[in-house]
This record gives sequence, structure tokens and C-alpha cells, in this order.
Amino acid sequence: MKNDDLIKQLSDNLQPVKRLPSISVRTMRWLGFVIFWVALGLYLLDLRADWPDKVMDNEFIIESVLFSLAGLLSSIVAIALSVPGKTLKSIYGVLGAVSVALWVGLIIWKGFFVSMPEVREQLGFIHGLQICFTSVAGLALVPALFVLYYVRKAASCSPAAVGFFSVLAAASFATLGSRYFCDIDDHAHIFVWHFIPMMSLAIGGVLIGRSFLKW
Amino acid sequence: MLFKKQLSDDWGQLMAKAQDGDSAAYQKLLAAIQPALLAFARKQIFDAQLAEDASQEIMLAIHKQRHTFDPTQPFKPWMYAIARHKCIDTIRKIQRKSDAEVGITDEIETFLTSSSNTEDEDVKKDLETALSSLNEKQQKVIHLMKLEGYTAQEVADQMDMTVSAVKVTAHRAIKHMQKSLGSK
Repeated sequence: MKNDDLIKQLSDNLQPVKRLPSISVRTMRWLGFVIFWVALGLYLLDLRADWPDKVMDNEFIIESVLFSLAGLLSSIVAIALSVPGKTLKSIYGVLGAVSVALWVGLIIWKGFFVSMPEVREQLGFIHGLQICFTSVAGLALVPALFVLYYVRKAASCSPAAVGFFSVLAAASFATLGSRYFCDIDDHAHIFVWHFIPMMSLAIGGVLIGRSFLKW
Repeated sequence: MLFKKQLSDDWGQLMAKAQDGDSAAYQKLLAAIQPALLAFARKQIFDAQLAEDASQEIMLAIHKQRHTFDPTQPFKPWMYAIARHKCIDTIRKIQRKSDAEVGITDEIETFLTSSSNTEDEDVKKDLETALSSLNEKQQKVIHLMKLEGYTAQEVADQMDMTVSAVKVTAHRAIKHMQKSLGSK
């Protein structure tokens, strides 16, 4: 087809479109959904019995703040990169690196003192698989699907990165929420049944992004 | 610099109007950006026809994704991000197609080597006639790859071409020769 014919065809059949809302509006909408979902999940799963004391614990507070920050930054990066013209070679790359660094820091913090025998013991802990893993996965999956569907409405030129940060954001809030229903504070347990599954899911987001976010 | 920024802003304004359904503004915009898109595609894709096809793909993508343009942001980064994305897609398609056709060229190679599995002089003559009907570049690529046994990378280095361009040239040459041989 000649260029002039194509231009004529496209302009003759032009329909008005609804502009994509701004990054901040879309991020707030997504955060609103994920907070609602995690809150609903915690309501159904029941908060841990010691939560009034736990929320005053410094270590718990730091952990909560770091997960929230990782989730917030990943959300911003995923939604920003879903639009052509926005790349990791900008402020969003910095935000993305910080969110990944927060996760790595948290894994090292919780995993550093965990020994292999403890890991093996945890892997045999059926409660971890049946309750923690499935609950955390449930908390993460729906928000992950929501955000992937949300960013698919845009047009990402970095689908792998968007997939990764989308799922990382969902995983961050899910892991945060899991600390409010799971009363096992053992580092090995948290490492094996909360952190590692969520980080693996986020890495899987790269593959999901590559196939699901094509256009 | 200021002129370029103004141009970008003008294009952004036209796209904003197009998002609201202004056909005249949209036509003006597409006509204005088409040469830039073609020039961009030509820098990424060696073949002129494929570059032209790619520029049209880019225009279609801009059309489909026009809802993602933010009128408060510059137009050019948005436009070129789409252009880059589509050119990468096109290059990947070319590479996949070239890789898939390596098997066909291997079969034809046996007809052109001295240890050929045919001793029929007429067939050999037909092949040489088909080879001479190619243009100079195609003849050289076929000669180097199929007769001399150079790899696509080696031919690309010798002829100052990209590997993809060498494979596309070889593919087209063989298609042409198949057509020529088929008509006999």
C-alpha cells in the first residue's frame, strides 16, 4: 500500500480515543486495588493474634516500611514503563534498582543467618506449603493479574521489565500482608515460604511480560 | 535545537487534536512524520523495501497506540520509541525467516559444487545461466557463500554488509534462481 493511501485511510477512519490517565493516577488506582485486596485477604485469613504487639516492634516496622517502599517503587516503574518513550535509562531505572535492592537487602537480612539444615527442615514443614505459600500466592496472584491487565492497555516497549516490576509490586504487598497473618517469625520460615516464592514469581514476571505484553 | 523542539511540540499538538477525533490534524501529522519514520527505518533496516514496509508498520502502531500519548509530554520520544520497537520486531522477523531458509540453500548448494550429485551438463549450464541473471551483489553473495563456502558472517565482513542483509540477499537470489530454473 502506498504511504499516501495509508495516511488517507487512517485519517478518514479516525475515531476519538480516551487518553490513558497519567502515571500518578494509574499508580494510585492500582495501589488502591492492591491495598483493598490484601486487606480483604487479611480479613478472611485473620490477623495474627499478637499483631498489636508486633506493630510496635522495631524490626517489624522496618520490614513493613521496606516492603511498602519496594511495592510502591515497583508499581511506579511498571506503570511508567508501560508507555512508549519511558525507559529504564531515566529516573525509573533508579527507582527500579532501588526496589530490587530493597528486596535483595530483605532477603539477605532474613536469609543471611539461615543454614541449609534449617532450609531443609522448612521444606519438610507442610504448614508452610499448605498455609503460608498458598495464602501468599493468593494475595499476590490477583493483584499481579490486575496490574498486568492494566499495563497491557498501554504499550510497553520493555515488556520483560514491565512484567518483572508488575509482579514484583504485587509480590511486595503480598509478602507484607503475609507478615500480618503468619505468626511464625522464624527467619528460615519467612525466607523459605514467604520471600523466595515471591521473588521467584517476580522473576517469572519477565517471561509473562514478554508473551503477555506484546503489541 | 529550538526549531526541533517547536516541531516536536507542533506534532504533539496535532496528535492531541487527533486524539479528540480531528481528521485534518491527524492527516497533517502523519504526512509530516512519515519522512522521519522512513529515514529512521532505513537506518535500522538495510533493505529499502523492507524499511518502507517497516515505516508503514510504525505508522499503524502509532495509530493503534495513539491513546498512550500524553499531550503534556514531548511527542518525538514517544514516536521514536514506537518506531524503535517496531523496527526491532521487523529485524527479528527477517532473521527468523533467514534462519528457517538455510536448509533450502544447503540443498541447492550440491548442484553448484564440483563434487555435485548430478553429472548432467545441461543442468549445470542452466544453473550457471540462472546465476548470471542475478544482479552483481546477489551473484557475489551466492558465489562466496555457495561456491567458496564462506559463512554469512565472513561474507558480511568482506562486503561491508550486515549478516541479516547477506542472508536476505542470498534468500532473494535463490528465489530468483528457482523461478528461473522452474520456467525451463
